[in-house]
Amino acid sequence: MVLALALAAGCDRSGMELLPQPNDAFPAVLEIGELQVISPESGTLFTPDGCNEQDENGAYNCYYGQLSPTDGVTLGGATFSFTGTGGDVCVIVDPEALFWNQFISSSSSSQLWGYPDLDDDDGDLDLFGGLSSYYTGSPGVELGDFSGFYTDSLGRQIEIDYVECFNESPYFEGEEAHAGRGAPEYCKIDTEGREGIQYTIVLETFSVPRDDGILSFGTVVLDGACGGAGGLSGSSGVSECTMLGETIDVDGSVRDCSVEREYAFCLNGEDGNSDARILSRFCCLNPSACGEDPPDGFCDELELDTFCTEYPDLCGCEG
Amino acid sequence: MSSELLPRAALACVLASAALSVGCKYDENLPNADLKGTVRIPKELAAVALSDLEGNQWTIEDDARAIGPVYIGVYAGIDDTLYSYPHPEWGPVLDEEQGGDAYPWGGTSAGRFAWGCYEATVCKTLTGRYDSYQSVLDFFRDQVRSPITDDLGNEITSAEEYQERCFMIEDVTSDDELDLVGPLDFTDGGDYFEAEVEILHSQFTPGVSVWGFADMPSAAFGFSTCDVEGGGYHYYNSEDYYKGTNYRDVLNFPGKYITAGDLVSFDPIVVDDPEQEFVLELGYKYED
Amino acid sequence: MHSLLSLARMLLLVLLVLPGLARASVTAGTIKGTTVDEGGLPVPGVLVTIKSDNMMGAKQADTDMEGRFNFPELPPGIYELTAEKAGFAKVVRPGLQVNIGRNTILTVEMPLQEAGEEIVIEESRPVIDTESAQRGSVLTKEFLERIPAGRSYQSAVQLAAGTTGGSNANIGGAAYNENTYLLDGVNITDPVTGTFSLNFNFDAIEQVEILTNAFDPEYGYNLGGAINVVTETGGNVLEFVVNAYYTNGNWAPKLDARYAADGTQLAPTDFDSRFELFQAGVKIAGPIVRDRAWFIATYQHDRSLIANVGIDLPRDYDGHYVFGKITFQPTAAHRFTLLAQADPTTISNTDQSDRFVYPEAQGQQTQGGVVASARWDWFISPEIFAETIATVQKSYLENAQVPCTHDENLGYNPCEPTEYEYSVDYTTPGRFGSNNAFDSGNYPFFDFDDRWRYSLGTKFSMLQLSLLGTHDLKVGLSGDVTRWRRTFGYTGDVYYVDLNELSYNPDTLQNYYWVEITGPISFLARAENIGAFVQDVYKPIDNLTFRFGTRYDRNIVRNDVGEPIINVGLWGPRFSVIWDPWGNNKTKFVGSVGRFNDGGRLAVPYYLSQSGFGSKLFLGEYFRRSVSAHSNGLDNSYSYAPNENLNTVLDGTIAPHSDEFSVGAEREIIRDLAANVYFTGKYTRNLYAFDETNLVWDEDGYNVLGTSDGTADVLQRMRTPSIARRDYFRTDVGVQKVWSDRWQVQGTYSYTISRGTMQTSPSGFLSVPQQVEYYVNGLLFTDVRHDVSAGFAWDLPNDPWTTQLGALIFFESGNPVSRYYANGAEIGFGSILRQTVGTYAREEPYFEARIKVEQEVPVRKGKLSAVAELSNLINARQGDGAYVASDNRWIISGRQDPLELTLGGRYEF
Repeated sequence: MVLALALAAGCDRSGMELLPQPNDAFPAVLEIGELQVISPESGTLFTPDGCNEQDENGAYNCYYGQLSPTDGVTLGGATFSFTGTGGDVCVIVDPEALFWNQFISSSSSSQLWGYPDLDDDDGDLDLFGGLSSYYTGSPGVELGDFSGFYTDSLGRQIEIDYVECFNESPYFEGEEAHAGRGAPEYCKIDTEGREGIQYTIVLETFSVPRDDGILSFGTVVLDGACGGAGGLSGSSGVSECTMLGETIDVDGSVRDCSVEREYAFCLNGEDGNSDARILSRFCCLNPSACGEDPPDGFCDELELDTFCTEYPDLCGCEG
Repeated sequence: MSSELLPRAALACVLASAALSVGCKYDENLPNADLKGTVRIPKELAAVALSDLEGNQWTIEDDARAIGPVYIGVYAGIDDTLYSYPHPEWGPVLDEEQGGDAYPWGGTSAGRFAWGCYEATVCKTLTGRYDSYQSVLDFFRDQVRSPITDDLGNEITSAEEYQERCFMIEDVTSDDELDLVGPLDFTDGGDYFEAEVEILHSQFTPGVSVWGFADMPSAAFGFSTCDVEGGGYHYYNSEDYYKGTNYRDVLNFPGKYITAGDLVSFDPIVVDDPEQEFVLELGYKYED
Repeated sequence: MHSLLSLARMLLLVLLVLPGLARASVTAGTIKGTTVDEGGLPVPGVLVTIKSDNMMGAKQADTDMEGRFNFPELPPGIYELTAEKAGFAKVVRPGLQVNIGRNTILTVEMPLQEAGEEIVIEESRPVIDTESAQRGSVLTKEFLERIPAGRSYQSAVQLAAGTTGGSNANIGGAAYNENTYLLDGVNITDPVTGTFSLNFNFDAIEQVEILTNAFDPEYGYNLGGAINVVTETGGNVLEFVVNAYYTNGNWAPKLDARYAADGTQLAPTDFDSRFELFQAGVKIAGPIVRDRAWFIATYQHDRSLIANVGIDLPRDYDGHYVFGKITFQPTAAHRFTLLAQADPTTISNTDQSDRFVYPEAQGQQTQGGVVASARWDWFISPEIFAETIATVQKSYLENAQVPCTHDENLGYNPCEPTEYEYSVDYTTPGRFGSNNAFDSGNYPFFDFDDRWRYSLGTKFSMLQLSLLGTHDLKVGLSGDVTRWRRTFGYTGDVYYVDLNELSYNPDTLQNYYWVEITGPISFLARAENIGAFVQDVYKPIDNLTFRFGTRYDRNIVRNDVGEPIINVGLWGPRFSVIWDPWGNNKTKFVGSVGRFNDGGRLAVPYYLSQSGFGSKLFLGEYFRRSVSAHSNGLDNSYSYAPNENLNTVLDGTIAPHSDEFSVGAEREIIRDLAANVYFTGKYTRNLYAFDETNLVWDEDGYNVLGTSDGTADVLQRMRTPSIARRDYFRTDVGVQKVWSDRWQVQGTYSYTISRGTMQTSPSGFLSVPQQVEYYVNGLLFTDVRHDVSAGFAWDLPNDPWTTQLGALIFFESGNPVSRYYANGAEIGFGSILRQTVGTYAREEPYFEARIKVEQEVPVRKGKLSAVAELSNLINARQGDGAYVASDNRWIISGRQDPLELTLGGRYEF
């Protein structure tokens, strides 16, 4: 009977294995340092290859990094700073998303490739920013926010939020709004009258991908408003197509086919390409990079033979 | 302790604990208080000038039904330098257009925008102003000179029809549930219209100021504090409109909503004792 | 009698020897009384012997100079008493019922007769305990077996006056989660929910004591009642019982029509709820060593299939209850008891929310736990004894989706080639329907919930102390540590919601939204309690008893970051006086006052935890602007709720408490049958309530005019204001007859008024200050104005085959119902009151009658019985849940179960 009781009690579980566990190889709270405010040529696509380069002052041109989850109720994420230019500055962060069909699919969600998604590979970082002097966190140690206190004439203290970075990404814009998993966020900060003043940017971890428990991301600070920044020539504003290759594996390498798939998606959305079904064709050739196998017959209708000729950049990866 | 004392000690312990546990009155030491008082509006200031598209101008006088919602807030202090009228002091100005946030400690209203039973009444009818549906119809027909119409543009002439419509769209069966008609906020106090108000559960410390304003109707009988895209939503056949409600930051940014004709409290009311009733006079008429 | 000096020494000894002192509650009863001659004068020096199948060996004592005898700490059951003295006839009193926590008090008249003559007196069993003021009922095994309680002690609990509600009863106007549940003296109250934490084996129950008010400090501090289950111990005779029962509620006519969302009336087969229950059990009990070591082991299997109205897949409950106990008494001075109970259970198809749930989208729950306790009773002398109990309890509750299986016969959720059988997919986002859309994906939520309780305690009793009368003194001390770990989240950290358009076509994926959630949350709360009590039963003269005492508990309940959310010291003084005016144990007048406390549950700091989900809502690209979108305030494509804790606790909260008084009288009006009348008043104050500190409302509480901190946040603050209260008044008139002449009855009519601001704690009634006036003196859920409950058992006379009949009747006034109206705020607090709580209407009254027939079938060896039980005899289908919808319609949200027939059999030898 005792054995039976022991077995009965042993049926339960704590569920702790479902929590993303901290990984000592990566920081849960990362202080990147300083980022330069750069002015790339229109249409520049950022990838890890050209980033993480520091100038003489140690400031990065753009940055790709990786984060571990935290161990409990404390917040995790990355911080960096930049110096005000006196004009508009655009801050962009693109968290890891291997393939978030729901978000990036250009086809209707009722059509194929609408469901399902590779759902264990999406990360989410929420973007905050403001004057460094209001930042309450300890870079590299503890995340904070941009708050100050107003004390009224009777001594009551009111906490005031001094965030100046309001997400502008088209689906999820607004004050206190943050894009969903895998989606890039960006905001414009007006630094008028604050040239040379330091700003702090906080990339707060909202969710960590389940596949490897590491959240990778890319981030960059551009001179000027976000409307004309980065992306493919036909893209308006910042999109998933501004920073590519943000899916970085635990070993530091960009995951196979992730750049090509994102690029396929971006081309698919280009003017004049919407009927070319570039993404569908890419996924038929690299189904494991896109989620589940397509339904029977779906790929038969597509011209796969000519795909590599038309888009050589998208071929040759082992997805 | 001698052995004989043991039960006696036990008894004493029991009695002492009983006395301890029932003898104390519990005080939460809440930093909150209920403040009571009266709002009064000089009748001469409550006169409302209206006009129509044809350029006709007329005035509603000595009629409390024309008084818009009165908003009363409890604030840390009043600052005379912000506007041409005394206005609650405010915190840092993060947005030049709306000024700083006045961070109310508490507040209440006298009257509020009632449910819009017809789209034509959205942001125009208030609670505490009418004692009957006929009174609403009469007021809009005779005083506002803009009779209440249904959604097809037909004038409502029957109080029963009006009531039925309100009951239908609000799913209620009695006027008590609806609040559109019933006890009046403002009573006739000679030279004043007077209303009793109660600010419940306000944050409180001695020295807080009570301040308020009445959002008086515009020339077209509109109210600047009412959000025509707020409140409940009515969607039935071809009818599709919000029923209107006040903006939710009226007491945070009152200056944003005070427009020409509105009545503002001029003399500061500083409350040191929450038991002391205040009299708040809206004695200043703001003109552009 | 003992001198106080020796007692004090003994107390000191016990304090030094024992490691901790006890929560140990009452698991035994007492036989006491006086031997008198035919002239009524006490006879000293009579040898009184008692024995029972439930007690190891016999107990003997000589009566003292006043002719008194006293046998405390007797396992509950049926006893035989023998009184002998030279010159007097030997008197035998069989069939004496000893109940938990009760005194069986009798006067034994000793006739002068020739030596050797024996007089057996079977009549006149004591029915009134003239030394106790405790209110409630004791349900004996014999009575429980005969009444049609559906083999559930919880059904029978409602026989106690002042008990309403369902299986987690509301006792004395308190909330359902304010009771204490005890198993053989061990507190097994769930530390989180405050309800019972495990399922017992019905066959193992010896007695159930339900205490509704005026109970002694040793039972604990709670605001409600105490439900104290004492199990069998086995005996000197080997006993083997096997039984099986089958209950079906499907064949009864059910006439209440149901409607689908589109307004079409459902066919009867769609709306008839399904109810099937199969129970089987086996019990084996007996001696290991005669009069030294006994054992009992039982196993019970419960399987039920219950579908909500119109739902195809029934909720499938599959429980296995294992109970074992060994009692070892190496010497008369020491007894050791080891007890273990486990109840592993799986529940499939937990999602009974709507009728369109695909099997593979269903949820599954596993639950159960184990409680193990070791107890040492040390009988230092017949009237001085100590008991020490150490207990470990673990319970768990896991919710997840249906695991995959390769067994095609199961017909659902096949495994992917890479999946292990029975594995659960925690990474694929869940998908479910709203407004009658299909639940076509996997169950979106998982939840792993583990609760622990460790307790250790000792109780020390010194009886019959002499000081201006006699005293029965008890002291106890206990320590209790509870923990709660919960890990929960959404599979894939996201879920999809399909809306109702085209909902009948599962291939349609349009018209949905999805919510992204932060990763799983792990939450750990804990609480510590140290409690002590002292109580005395003081009899200055024979027919007057004072019971008084107090307990003190220190409770600290912490949230997930270790902050003490509740940190309270609880005093619980109690005082009763019991007067037997004629001193013949046939009448008593009772008066009691006392304080009872709420020390907090782990669920309270949960509201103030620092862990929490952040969520982001996305509306799909085909999402249409609709009425529902407007009314939810979701007319944009996005909402974001960061995982911030917006709840705080006001400094200096105190413990909720009840001050209770009762007066009453009981009188034996015919032999073995007593009538009683009681009045009970209970003032409960300072319950946990949340108010809101940020929003500034208009005069009616309809709309928000501003916010104190400039944000739209709803900031909740937990308080214990005096206005968070309940006032409860109850008058009972009842009868009770002990088992004799082959019948027993117990019945009560109660008239109750229950008013206040809140029933359950914490409550949010303070949130909108303009609303509070409607809560003050509102009718509470426990305002069951008229309540009748009665149980009856009768064995047919002169029956060659024993035939037993049992019946139960319950009648309760319907619960008061409030009506709410939509407000204009759109953020939080979506509904408001316009009328005093509970005055709008009442649900229909509830009536239920049950009967049971048990017929013994002759067999060559052993005893075989056939059982038939009918529940809801008249097939009443009253609504037992109702509300007023926003469109003013009266909605019955639940109905009484239909007529159910149970057929069963039992074999024992």
